[in-house]
Amino acid sequence: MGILKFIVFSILGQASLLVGCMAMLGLILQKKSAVDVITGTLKTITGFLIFGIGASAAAGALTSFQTLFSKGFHLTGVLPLAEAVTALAQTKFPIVIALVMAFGFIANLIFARFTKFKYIFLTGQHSLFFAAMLTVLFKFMGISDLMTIVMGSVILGIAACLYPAFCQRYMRDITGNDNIAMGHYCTLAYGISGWVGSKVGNKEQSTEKLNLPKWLSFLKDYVVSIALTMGIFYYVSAIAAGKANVDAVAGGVNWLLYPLMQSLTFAGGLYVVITGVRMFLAEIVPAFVGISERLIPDAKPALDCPVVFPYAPTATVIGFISAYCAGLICMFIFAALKLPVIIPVATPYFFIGATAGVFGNATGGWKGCIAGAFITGVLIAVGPALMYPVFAHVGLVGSCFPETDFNFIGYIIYMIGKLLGIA
Amino acid sequence: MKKALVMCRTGMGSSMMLCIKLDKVIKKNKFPLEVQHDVTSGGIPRDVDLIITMQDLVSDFKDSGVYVIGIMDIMNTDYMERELKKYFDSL
Repeated sequence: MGILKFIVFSILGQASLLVGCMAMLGLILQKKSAVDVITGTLKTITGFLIFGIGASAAAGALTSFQTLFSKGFHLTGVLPLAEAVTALAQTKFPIVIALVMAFGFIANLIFARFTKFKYIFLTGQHSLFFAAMLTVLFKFMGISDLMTIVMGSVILGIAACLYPAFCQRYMRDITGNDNIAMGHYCTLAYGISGWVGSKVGNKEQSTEKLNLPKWLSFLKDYVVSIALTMGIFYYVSAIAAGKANVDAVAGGVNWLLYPLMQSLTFAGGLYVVITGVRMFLAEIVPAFVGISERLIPDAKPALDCPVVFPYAPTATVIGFISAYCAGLICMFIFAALKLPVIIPVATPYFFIGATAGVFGNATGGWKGCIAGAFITGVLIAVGPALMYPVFAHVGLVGSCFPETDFNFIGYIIYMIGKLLGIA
Repeated sequence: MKKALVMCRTGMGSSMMLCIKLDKVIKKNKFPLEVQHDVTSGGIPRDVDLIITMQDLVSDFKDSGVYVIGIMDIMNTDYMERELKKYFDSL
């Protein structure tokens, strides 16, 4: 009895050990050698702890940015970065999030096995982000850990099968086959982009027939694109807030140097976050792939958005620019309306805008690319603007999810919660 | 034993799937190849012999001095097998 309590509360009570056990189970099920099981488990646990270290580093820079932005503009500045808000959520509900993700995988397998929606969602970090969003929402509404895990995993499992189906017809247009699905939770935007493309453009006029300047390739670098866009907005906020306000938070650092150091710290913190996520998913995702291939061999893998980039690399750049312009315009509109100001950080606008661009291009050439990506840029700004107040209530300050699929379900849950009087 | 580095922009999305696919090809052909995945920001360690990435990132590594394989279709393991055979034949 004492040993059981120890296992459940002490070992599994540490989220890092919990995911370590998941990895260990996955490795054993794949009949890996003892050495592989031990190293894989240790790396998974460490990866999760690294994820936590990154969260702390990024959180500090995020908070001081928010402070300066609000002092400078008397508005709330919000960074739409899924990995940032997930890292923050993880400091509050690590175990529930890990369990929602794990049981969400199992729910995915069950729904894929018994329905016609045979998609297996393999983009591990998106499953993690979704689990974090659902956990935060349900805990905000005062729901118990157990019910959060049950409802969260069921929703995750259904979403994993249904969302990829939404834009699959356009995936076929892009890849020329039916082998892969889109495993990136902006399928609503991508589907809309593909549809818009078919209405406004001509797919013969592909973006790939255009030539773009080479310097735009800096956007491909995660650290650089975050550091640059954060840096610009940080300086704008610092100057708007004025020397006195910056000195108050800068702890002795020169007020003109402080924004540089903070934005690089933020980029560094997020780099640590993705390093940790990569490490702890590195054993879990292959295990999941192995298990799903064995149980549901005719299932389609839903994969991370960059798998479509090679089919239309120019569309990715044009899509990013179009989406980013939409983000900038929305930012000014939100500021004028005194809503939470969603700051267009390059990274999500790149991945999401680029993918929307590829979808729009597949059905409507360059016109479809620009139109689809622009609408997507609006959707990924409006979504977090609507949902941010909910997250801020739970103490997740400064960041929110841009992904349309999260916000769509999140908003429905929030509305239901309000109807039931618990939100 | 040669060392391959699979890269993508975040190190946790397409590079992870590529690794999973490559591991199968490597196992089937018993290639003497060790595979790791990382984010492009991470740079290229000195002891890497082979870089594998999605086709749209190949231009980033053209001047690195390391042999690069670009992948168009992440599910096409036949292509991966052919390219790896080409690499080992070139040594």
